[in-house]
Amino acid sequence: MDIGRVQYAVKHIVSLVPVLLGISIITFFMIRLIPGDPAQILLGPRANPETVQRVTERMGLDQPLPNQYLIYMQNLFQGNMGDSIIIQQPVLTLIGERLDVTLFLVIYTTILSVLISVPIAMWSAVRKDSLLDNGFRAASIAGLSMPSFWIGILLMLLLSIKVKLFPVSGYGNTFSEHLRHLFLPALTISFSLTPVLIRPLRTKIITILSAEFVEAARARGIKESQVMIKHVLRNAVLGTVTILGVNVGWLLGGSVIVETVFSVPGLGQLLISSILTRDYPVIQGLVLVFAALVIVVNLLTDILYTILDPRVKLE
Amino acid sequence: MKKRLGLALVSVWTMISLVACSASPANQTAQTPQQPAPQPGAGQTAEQDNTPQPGGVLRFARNHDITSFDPIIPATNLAIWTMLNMYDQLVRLSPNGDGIEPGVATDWTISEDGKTYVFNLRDDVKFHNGMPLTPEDVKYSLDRARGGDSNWDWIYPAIKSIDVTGEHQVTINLEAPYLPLLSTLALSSSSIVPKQVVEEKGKEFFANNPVGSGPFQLESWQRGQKIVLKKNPDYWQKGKPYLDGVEFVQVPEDTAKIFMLQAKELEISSNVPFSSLQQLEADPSLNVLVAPFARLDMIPINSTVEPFNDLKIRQAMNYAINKQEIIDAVLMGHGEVATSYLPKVMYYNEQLEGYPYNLEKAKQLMAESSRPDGFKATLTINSGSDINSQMAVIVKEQLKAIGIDLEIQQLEPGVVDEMHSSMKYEMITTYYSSDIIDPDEITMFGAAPSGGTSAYYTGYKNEALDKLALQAQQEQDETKRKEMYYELQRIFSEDAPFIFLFHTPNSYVTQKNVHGFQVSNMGSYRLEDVWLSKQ
Repeated sequence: MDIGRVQYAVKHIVSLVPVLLGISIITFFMIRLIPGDPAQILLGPRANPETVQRVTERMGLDQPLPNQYLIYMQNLFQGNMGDSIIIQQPVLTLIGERLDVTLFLVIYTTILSVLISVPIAMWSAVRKDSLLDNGFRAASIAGLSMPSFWIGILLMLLLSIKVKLFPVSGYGNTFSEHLRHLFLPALTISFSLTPVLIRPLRTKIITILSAEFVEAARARGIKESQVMIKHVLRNAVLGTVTILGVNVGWLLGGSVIVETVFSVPGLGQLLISSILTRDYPVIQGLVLVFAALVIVVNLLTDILYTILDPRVKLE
Repeated sequence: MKKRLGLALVSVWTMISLVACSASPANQTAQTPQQPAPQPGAGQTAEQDNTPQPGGVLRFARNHDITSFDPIIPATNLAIWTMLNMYDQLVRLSPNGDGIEPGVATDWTISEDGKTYVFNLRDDVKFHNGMPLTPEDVKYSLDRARGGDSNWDWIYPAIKSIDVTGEHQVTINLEAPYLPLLSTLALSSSSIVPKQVVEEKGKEFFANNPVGSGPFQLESWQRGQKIVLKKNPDYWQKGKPYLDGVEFVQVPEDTAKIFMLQAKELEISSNVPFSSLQQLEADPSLNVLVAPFARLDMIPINSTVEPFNDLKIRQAMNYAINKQEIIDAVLMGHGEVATSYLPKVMYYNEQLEGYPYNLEKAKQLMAESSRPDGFKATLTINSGSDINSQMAVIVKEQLKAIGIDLEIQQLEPGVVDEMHSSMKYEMITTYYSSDIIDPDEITMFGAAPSGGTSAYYTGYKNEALDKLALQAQQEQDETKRKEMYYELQRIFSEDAPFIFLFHTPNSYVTQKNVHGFQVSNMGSYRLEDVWLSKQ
C-alpha cells in the first residue's frame, strides 16, 4: 500500500471519532426517551414498586441523565462499554461472543451473492433481451420484493424439512459446521442482495462489450473467455464493489431479521432482545459497533477501488 | 420490530400449513390430561416398555434465555423453572403441583401456635462441588433470600429468625402464624446455595457459575443461544436423573420451533402456538401436551379514571364480554373461563359464577350507570402478542354492543408494563401467574389494595378485603381458611376491578420417545423424571 492510501486511511479513521461521538450522544438520549423501564421489565409484572426502586438504584439509573452520560463516556474512553444492566456481563464480552457469528454471516452472504450474481449478469449481458435475460429480470424483481423472513421460512421448509440437506437453526462449532448452518441464512439474504448487484453489473457489461478495447482484444485473437474475464469483468466489477460497500449497513440490518428467523446467535438477536428489555448499555454498544463497521467497510471499499482501478486517486 | 415479524411469521405459517396439510384429520384437538399422568411414561403408547432407560440429552426449546442463575435474582418463569432443576429446597412441589412433599427436609413439625417450624434434613445431600449440604447453608440461603440483595424479599414477610438447632436440623421462627410458608419454601428463591462458595466468590461470580445440589448442574452457558446442563451423578434421589444432560435452546420464533421439531432437532418445545397444535398432533412422531397453568389473563380497569370508578360500568363490561367465544377463537378452545382474581391454585372457588355472558344484563347495568349513552375508552395491548391483538378485536366488537367505543392502542411490552404499573391507562391486557400453590401470593399481590400494587395497579380500594386477606394468612383452621379465600374471591369478583378473562394453559410438543415429562400447575417440570427411549 502506498503512502497516499495510508494517509487517506489515517485521515478517515481520525474523522471516525466525531462521527461515533455524535452517534453515541444520539443513541444515549434516544433510547432513554422512549418509555419502558429496565428495572420494571427485569422484575416482570410481579415486582412491587419498592423492589423496582431498589433495582433502579442498583443499576445506577436513578442518577440524572447528564451524569449517566458522563460516566458512560469516561468508561468508553478507557475502552469499557459498561456492563449489561439485565445480564450483568460486560458489554464488550457480550458483543465479542457474537461478533464473529454476524461477521461470518455477512461475509458468507457477500461471497455467495457475488458467486450468484456474476455468472447471471454475464449470461444476461451476453444473451441480452433473450428469454433467459427476461427470466432473470423477473426473478430479480421477485427476489427483491419478497420479505426475507418469508424466503427464509420457504427455504427452511424446502431444504431442511422436505429434503433434509441443512439444519433448521443454530451456528455449529467448527468452520465446516458454520458453513452448513449458515448456508440457508446467507442464501436468504442473498435473495435480496443479488438483484441489487445483477442489474448494474449487466448494464455495465453490455456497455463494455461494445467498447473499442474489447473489439481490439478480440481482434488480437485472445480467447473469448479471456476477454470476458480479463477485459470485461475487471472493468465491470468496479461498480459492484461500490454497491457492496454501500450496502453493508443494509446487510447488517438484514442479518438482524434473518438471525432471528434461523435462531443464529449473532449480534442481531442480541440487539432485538436488548431493545425489548431496554438494556441501555448493550444497545449503545451495539449501535457503536454497527456504525464503526459501516464506516470501516466503506473506507476499505474506497481503498480496494484504487487497487482495482489504478486511475482512481484518493483525496 | 420482532413483534410484527412474529405476527407475520404466524400468518405465513398458517398459510403454509393450509396448503401443505389439507389432509389433517378433523376433531383431533389436543386435549391432553387435565389431571397430569400419575407416573412417568403414562400417556404414551401401551406397547412401549415403561422401564426408564438411562442416557441421552434432552434438547428443549424455549422463547428466551435467562439472566442469572442466582436463585434470589431473576423473576421470570423460565429462570424459576430452570433453577428448580439445579437446586434443592427444603420442600418441593409435587409433580403435578397440587401439594408439598419433602425435599432436603425429610419431615417437619409445626408448633401448636403455628409460629415455629422445625425441619429435619437429609444427611446425604451434596453440592455439585462435592461439599455436603449443611443446616448452615440452609440458614444462610434463606436469610439471603429475605435480605436486601434479594428481588424476592417481599415473599418472606413473617419470618423472625432462622436457626440451626441440630446437626441436621433447622428451625424457622415466625412473628405470627403464616400459612403460606411451606409453599414459599418450595419456590426457587428458597433454593439452598453453598454458603462458602457464595461468600468467597461473590454473588456476581455465583450468578454465572452456580453450585446447587439438584439433579442437573451447569456445564456451559452460551448466552442467548443455549444453557447446557449435565447430570449430577451424586444426586440424592438414587438412579435419577435418567438423562445425561439437558440443553435449553433459545428459539424465539414459532415457525422455527415447529420446523426444528419436524427435523428432529429438538425433543421438546414449549410455547407452541395453539393454532398449530392440531396439525402437529397429526404428526405420528410427535406428542402434544396442553398443561393447566395457574395463570389468569385479565383486563385491569383503572378505577381512578372516570367513568371506571362506576361499579356498574365495570360489571356491565364483564357481562358484555363472551369469554368462551374468545377462548374458542383465540386459544383454539384451550383455556377456561375465569371468574375472579385467583388462578387455579389451592382454594380456587370452582362454584363462583362470575360474569357469564349476558348482554341484556350488561345493557341494563349500562342504562343505570353514570354513562347511560356509552363512552369512548382506550384499550392498551401488547403488540408482541398475537393472542392479545386477536382478543382485542373481539373485545372491541363486544363492548360496542353496550355503547362503549374502544380504541385499541398497540405498544411494545416494556411500555405496556410501565403504563400499567404507573397507572397511566384506562384498560390494559395483561396476566399474572402464581409461583406457589398457596393463594396468598396472588391475593396480596393482585387483589389486596394494600399489597403493594394497589390491586394490580387498578386503584381499587376495599378495606374489608384488605383485612380479610391478612387474616387469611394467619388462619390455622383449614376449613375456615378456605372459606376466607372463597369470600375474597367473591368480593373481588363482585367489585370487578378487572375484566376477568380466562386461564391460559401451557403448550408443549415433544417427540414420541420422550417419557415422563410432566408439567405442574405452577408451570415447572422435574426433568430428573424424564427419559428417552430409542427411536
